[in-house]
Amino acid sequence: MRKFLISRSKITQRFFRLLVVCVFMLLQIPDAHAQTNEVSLQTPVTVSGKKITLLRVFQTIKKQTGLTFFYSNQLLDDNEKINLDFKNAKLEEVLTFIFKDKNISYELRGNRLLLNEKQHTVKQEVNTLKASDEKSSAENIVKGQVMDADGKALVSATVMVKGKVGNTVVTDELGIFSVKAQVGDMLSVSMVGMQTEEVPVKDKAVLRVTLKNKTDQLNDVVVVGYGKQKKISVTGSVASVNMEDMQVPVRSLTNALAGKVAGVISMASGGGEPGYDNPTFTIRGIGTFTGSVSPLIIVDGVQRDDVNSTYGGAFNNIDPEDIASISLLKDASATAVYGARGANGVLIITTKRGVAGKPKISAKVETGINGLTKLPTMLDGVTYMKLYNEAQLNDPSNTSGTVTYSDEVIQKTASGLDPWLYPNVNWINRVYKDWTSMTNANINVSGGGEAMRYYVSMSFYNQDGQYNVSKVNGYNPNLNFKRYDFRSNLDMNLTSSTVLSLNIASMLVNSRYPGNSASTIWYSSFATNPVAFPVQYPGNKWAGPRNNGGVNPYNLVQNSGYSTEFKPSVQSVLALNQRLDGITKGLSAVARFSFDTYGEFGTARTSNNDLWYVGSRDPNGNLVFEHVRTGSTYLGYSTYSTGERVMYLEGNISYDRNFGKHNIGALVVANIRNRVIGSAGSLKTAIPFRNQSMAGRITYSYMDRYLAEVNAGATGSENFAKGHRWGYFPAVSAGWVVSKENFFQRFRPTVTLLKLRASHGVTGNDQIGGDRFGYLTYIDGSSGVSFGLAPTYYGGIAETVLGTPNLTWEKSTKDNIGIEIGLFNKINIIADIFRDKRTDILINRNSISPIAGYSSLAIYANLGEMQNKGIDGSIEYNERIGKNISLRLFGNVTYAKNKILYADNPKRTYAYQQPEGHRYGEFTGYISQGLFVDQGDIDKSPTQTRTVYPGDIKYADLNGDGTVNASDWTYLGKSSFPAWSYGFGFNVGYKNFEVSALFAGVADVGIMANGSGILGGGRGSDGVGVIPFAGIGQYPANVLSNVTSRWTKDNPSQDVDYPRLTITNTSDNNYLGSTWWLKDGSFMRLKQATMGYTLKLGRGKTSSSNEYKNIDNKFIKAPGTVVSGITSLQFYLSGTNLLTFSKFKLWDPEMGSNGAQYPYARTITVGVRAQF
Amino acid sequence: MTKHIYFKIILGAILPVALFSCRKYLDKKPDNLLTEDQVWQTKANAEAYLHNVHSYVYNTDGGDWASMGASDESSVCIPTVNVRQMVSGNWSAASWYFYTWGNFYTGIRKSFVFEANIDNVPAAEMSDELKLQYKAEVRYLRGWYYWQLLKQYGPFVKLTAPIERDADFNQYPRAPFDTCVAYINELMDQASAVLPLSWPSSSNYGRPTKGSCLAVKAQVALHAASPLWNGNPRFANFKNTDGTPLAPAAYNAYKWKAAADAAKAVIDLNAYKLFTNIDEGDASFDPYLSVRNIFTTTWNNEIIFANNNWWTWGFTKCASPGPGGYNMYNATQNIVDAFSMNNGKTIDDPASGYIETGFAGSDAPVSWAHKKGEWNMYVNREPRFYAYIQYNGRPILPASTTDDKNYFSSDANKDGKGRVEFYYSGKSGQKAAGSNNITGYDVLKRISPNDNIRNDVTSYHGPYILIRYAEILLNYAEALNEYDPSHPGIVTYLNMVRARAGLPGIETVYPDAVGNKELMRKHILRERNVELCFESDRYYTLTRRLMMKEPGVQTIYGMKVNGDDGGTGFSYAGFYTRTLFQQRFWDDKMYLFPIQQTDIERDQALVQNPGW
Repeated sequence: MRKFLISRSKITQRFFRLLVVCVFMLLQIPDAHAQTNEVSLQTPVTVSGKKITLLRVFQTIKKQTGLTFFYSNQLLDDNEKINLDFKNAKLEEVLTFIFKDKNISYELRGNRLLLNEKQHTVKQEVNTLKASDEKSSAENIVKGQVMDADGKALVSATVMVKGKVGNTVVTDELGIFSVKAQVGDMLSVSMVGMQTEEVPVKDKAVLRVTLKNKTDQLNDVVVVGYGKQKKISVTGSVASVNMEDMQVPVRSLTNALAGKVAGVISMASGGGEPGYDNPTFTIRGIGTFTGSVSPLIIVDGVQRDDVNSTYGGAFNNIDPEDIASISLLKDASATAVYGARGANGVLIITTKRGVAGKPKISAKVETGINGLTKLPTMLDGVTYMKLYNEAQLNDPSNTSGTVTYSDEVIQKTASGLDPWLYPNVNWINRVYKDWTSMTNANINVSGGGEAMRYYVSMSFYNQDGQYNVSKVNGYNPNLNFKRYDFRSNLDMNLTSSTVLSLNIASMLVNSRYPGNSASTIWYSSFATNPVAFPVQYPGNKWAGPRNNGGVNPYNLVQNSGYSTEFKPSVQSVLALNQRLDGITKGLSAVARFSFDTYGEFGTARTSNNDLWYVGSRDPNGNLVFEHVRTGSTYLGYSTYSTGERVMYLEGNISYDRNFGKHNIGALVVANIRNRVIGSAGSLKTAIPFRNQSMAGRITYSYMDRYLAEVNAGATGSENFAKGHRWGYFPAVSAGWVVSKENFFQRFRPTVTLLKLRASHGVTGNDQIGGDRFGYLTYIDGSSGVSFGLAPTYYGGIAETVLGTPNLTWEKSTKDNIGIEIGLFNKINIIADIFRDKRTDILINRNSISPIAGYSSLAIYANLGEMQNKGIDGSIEYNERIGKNISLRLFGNVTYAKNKILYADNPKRTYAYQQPEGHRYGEFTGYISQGLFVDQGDIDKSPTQTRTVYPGDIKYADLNGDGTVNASDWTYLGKSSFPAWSYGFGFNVGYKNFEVSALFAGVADVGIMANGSGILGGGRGSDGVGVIPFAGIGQYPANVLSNVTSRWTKDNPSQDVDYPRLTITNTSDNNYLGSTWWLKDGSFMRLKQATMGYTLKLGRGKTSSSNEYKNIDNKFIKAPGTVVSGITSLQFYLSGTNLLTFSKFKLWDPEMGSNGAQYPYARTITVGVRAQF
Repeated sequence: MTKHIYFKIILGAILPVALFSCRKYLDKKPDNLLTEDQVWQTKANAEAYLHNVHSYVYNTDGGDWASMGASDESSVCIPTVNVRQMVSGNWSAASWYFYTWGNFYTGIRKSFVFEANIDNVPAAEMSDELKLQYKAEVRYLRGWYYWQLLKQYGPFVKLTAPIERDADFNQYPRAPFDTCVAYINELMDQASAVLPLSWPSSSNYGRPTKGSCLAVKAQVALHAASPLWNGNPRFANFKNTDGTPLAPAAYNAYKWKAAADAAKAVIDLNAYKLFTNIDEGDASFDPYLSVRNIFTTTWNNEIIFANNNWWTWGFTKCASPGPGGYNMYNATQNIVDAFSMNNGKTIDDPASGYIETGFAGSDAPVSWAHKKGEWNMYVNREPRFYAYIQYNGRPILPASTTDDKNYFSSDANKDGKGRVEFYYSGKSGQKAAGSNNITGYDVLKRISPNDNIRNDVTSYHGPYILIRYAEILLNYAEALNEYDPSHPGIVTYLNMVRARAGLPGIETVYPDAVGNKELMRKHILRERNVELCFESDRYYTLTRRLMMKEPGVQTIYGMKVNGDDGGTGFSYAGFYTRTLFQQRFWDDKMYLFPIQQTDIERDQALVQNPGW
């Protein structure tokens, strides 16, 4: 392998004066294009012309091959004019022709062509070393190498000796530089897109300088719909996620996004059961009240949000390690190309791709413990019995003063001496354990050459459930979630201008669940009272309910069998990318074909075991067992399976070209998509879901200063009648980069960037809810009747949907104004203000009186209107303090407040009950005025819906008719979905240590803590655990321990959690939705925190903190001779959801109004990350 | 070569675009859907539509408010159920308790659709005669739905044609009560003109007959004659927004005659008779089997209108004692006290021989009555008591084998009899869970000995009866007594019911009552209470007669289920202490259900019921 050192003498000759390196950035074609440029000397090129400049020749070759020429002005005058005529000639021939009379050699390195003086290199190298030995102080030649954080050499970085204007050099293609400097000089190393480094010169030093990426680079490209754009020229509202923040051991990708980027509001109110813990994820909040609010999710150019949507979307199982970028498209300008799928915003995920070079291996293994954020505290047995008695005595119809639990029973329970007859069980603690284990590993290899590049990755994720169970029955009933992800992203250069890319990702989720669902187990553990029965009697007899309804929660999970599921999915994309400069410069075309398949297979082995109940002891004191359930001696067997597939075909043609100061881009795209659900539940869903769409975009920019863009999309869906199938969605936007104006230059030292942009447009939402084909009257099987002596059942038919012929899309009119500010090259601020007005929201008609008799069927109409307004913004601050400390502070905030404008509601008798004008999910209820103090208070207050007693909640009589009834509830302001979402955090690096933390939270969200969110769903009453003693069948339920804070005759305090205790249910006056129960659900979490230490080995001493160090000559080697083995090792300790700050203490506030759910995971992991 | 590739690529990119010209891509919709027109093309589809209209005949498997829990005859042990909330006054126009308004109107709309379209069925598919019959059926059904609305909510919105979905719904006020009654009668008259007296083929059992129509008219007439709607001063200001009074202002005694005549019209059909065990093939009359098996045999001649679609298991499970049953449907001491002695005398009659306390020293002479060791309160009661009330110590009925019976017994009582243990420490007692049977009684009506509730095995053993002949006889006696107390028919028809129950004639037991309107009314209402218990008649009798506010009806008694027997079981006498367990809440507004608030907002011409 050839060494590439440049002699000191040559340097003094050649680099004393300013060097200019010409790097042609003719095309702002994204990475994929850049990679296509890898060529060999045999690549055919066509160059011809008379008296054309060498520069022009080089440009022409670059356009055809992607080759960038590197040379210094001293070496070559590129204005020199020559005549030449080559058609499909080998590049080698052309180069030989050009340089035949010149003292210039050339060398191909990747997609760079380096020009040099002929035949001096080796000799000079020797000279260099000698010179270096001879001269020790004074004017010295300082050598060094510049690399990026990954250890890749940085070409054409500028190295400047501070205070010496002439001493400026650029690094060569190995990142190596030699510059004349003295000991004590300060070198300034800079490069576009990187943070400038300053390094002091020491004696005899070979410097090694690592430049860190600038976090907000003007020349960054961002992923936008169907392509990429230079960040500076984007006029829509597009945000990118910092992928460093995404390295967390969280299964669900959308769950990991909360708090990390402006624009996302998510609320995971569905509980945290592994595998089913995906949140309600929105971009800029909720814009519609019947249709889907989820954004469109594009993975590697293909829509992937609805594949496996029952399971939260297969995209949620992509390992964050494999993701290169995540972009959020937020406004109409950015989303219009997605037509009728863009109204809820678009999330674009691109996975990593290979970069040419030696195989680069990176591996991560982490393992740790997994706990639950918050377990609710329920009453203990003794308190439970006392309060139950109290509630019984509070019942005015209990004239005899009967109580269920005698003092003797309470005494015996308290003593704990006879746990069989007088049990006292903390079910939640019995069923759930504090900690369980999890493991997460990823290894990926990337690399390749001119012909092909690859990124291959494997990852494994394993999480155990929190159930406190064992293998007593010979099987493990505990939950276990395993995920295997394989990914292979290949790029092949078929010709110099053709790249074929193939992404194949296969994922397998392999999980085991207990014989009962997580929700049932939670509900039961939450609700079962502590004194109903023990867990187990002596002699391996499991305890069970003697009467209707109760369950032994522990038995539900320990002895009810298990089910195993596996969910394979394959996601594949084949893309053919062709540059068409032959037709006209800047033109290229992409054809993309994709198919995804997803399967779900489950096997349930469940059964009921024998259960026993002990009600008494016989005269000898032995327990008298009652066999209350005769179980099965073996596990039953059942299976289920389902699956779906999606096929997608896309073609697009794009154009991008500079004409002097003008840049023009254009895109035309067309695609069709076909999704089929296997074993669909109904005739309607069995019909393939089909879409066709077409979109176009034109962008224009003048000197990256004045920007304009027009987008338009058209989408067709099979869901509507002919003539109503197609929706057309245009958007316009413009931007002004003020900081590029001449008049602005005097502010530049402070304000490095100032950009204003605005957009307006219409997008659509086809995920409109309701039945498919709402334009058709649908007659289906319905209930019937039995006739006859020995009755025969005759099924009926009935209209289930009454067709509305002209149904169509939901439309979203969006406006957005944004500002981007950069200060001191350290602070970046982006802020947007937006408005989204939805019209034609599809609703099931609401104003039809039931007397018309349509109650049992659906009648749809595009009648709803809604508005959503807000702001989002982010700020980031990067700083270095001294040599060793790096600091990054960041924060983002999103605020979106929606208002239902029209929902086809009848005009309410009382305006304060009109849903229009209120937020989506806004709680309704009565206005609490505290608790009734005494009978006198009751007598002079409005009549309540039932006879009330002191200690009951007093509601306001809103209509002033003297009675509180159904006319007196109103909207209470707070919604179950937050209006504010925010995140902030820091990364601090000190030498090899790094500490980071991210806090995320939501605000302006309510929890209706009256139990209305806790649904029995056939298992028992609603509201258990919150409403005192609402029961499971005949078993009164347990209550949260804060019920002890209650109104009593002895302590008639208003400052209590609960009113007078009664045995009651959700419809009782005291437990109606009201301001008494509406709690502030805002919370903030320490969502993730990491401490890391990086051990640097060999060449690849990488760290995210900037490092420089004197290194020995021998480490400066060409890329082909990389030191093998581990180059970097990072050890870290990481935690998620470690702390939660909230006023709401009863359960994890993220679960919203339903506290009886599997809470979210809290993890603490240790991990190691290695680069090879 | 390069150009060739370019060409291919362009072609590839253009291909999807080209697909747009193929407009058929989006022509995807459910194939072979049944269209509105097709429903009326074939007999099978048209009949299926009719079956759906039938399906709105409402029975809640014995578990609705009127059958269980809202009147003094029963309670439901779980305090959180809707009916318990209702009787404690926790009830408003937003409560949605037993909301049937929308459902019945849906049935009504479908009846219009059927009637309007049935003639489109080709003659080759369906004969005109059958069309006529089906039209009569849907008219009956429409009338039935209106009748159910009238009972529960009072005056309804009278529709004579379907309302389009885009209509102005605020133009539909309620019709005055008399108009409602007249409309139901009109529909019943139209239906009865076509429907047969009885169905020649038993496969049609369950369809309405002429008798069903007349029986509905009789029920409606009695309802209209009763004080709730006959000059009720409370309804004096019950008016539509335009001032139209919705309730008849003045008392009209003639309505009682109309009610009597309507009932007599059913009797005069001579199509019905009271069921006895002899109808089942038994050689000799047994009053216990006769009153019990009305509900547990298939179709019989006492049934006037009934519904085959009911959930036998659900009712049996809820009504049966623990541990096999849910122990939920609890009879009250109030209804227990209403059963007379087997000599026909009421227990408050000193001559009845009723003893309140002590244990019985011997078995009853008949197998189905009391046994030695049972409480004297349950000794020598009338046969219906034993057929309809599950009391402490009475053997479980839906249990076939000795093992099944023992399942209901504590170890000390496993004698194969399966005597139900409602006492505190018993299998069905309070100690087990705290909210068990709360009265010391379960409901036994409609429970079949052929079922086995321990193993959850139940079978269809007869329809859910909505109108039966015994009610018509009692309606007749009641109306006649109000209109003409001296009419001999009162005694005759009342005695028919008593005789089937194994009781002597009223004139022999209480001769004073004959011709005495007040006294006789008391006996007739007691007879209704007992004969029609748990059949929702008690609730409607109490409401239409404005008796709900009477204190005796709202103070609900049971046995002392919480008295700790200390393990002494059946021999614990403390259990049999009358205990007030519910002082119910009553407000006169509760005579009618509230119209749901949101329904008023969707039709602002609807006025709310008084007091809500």
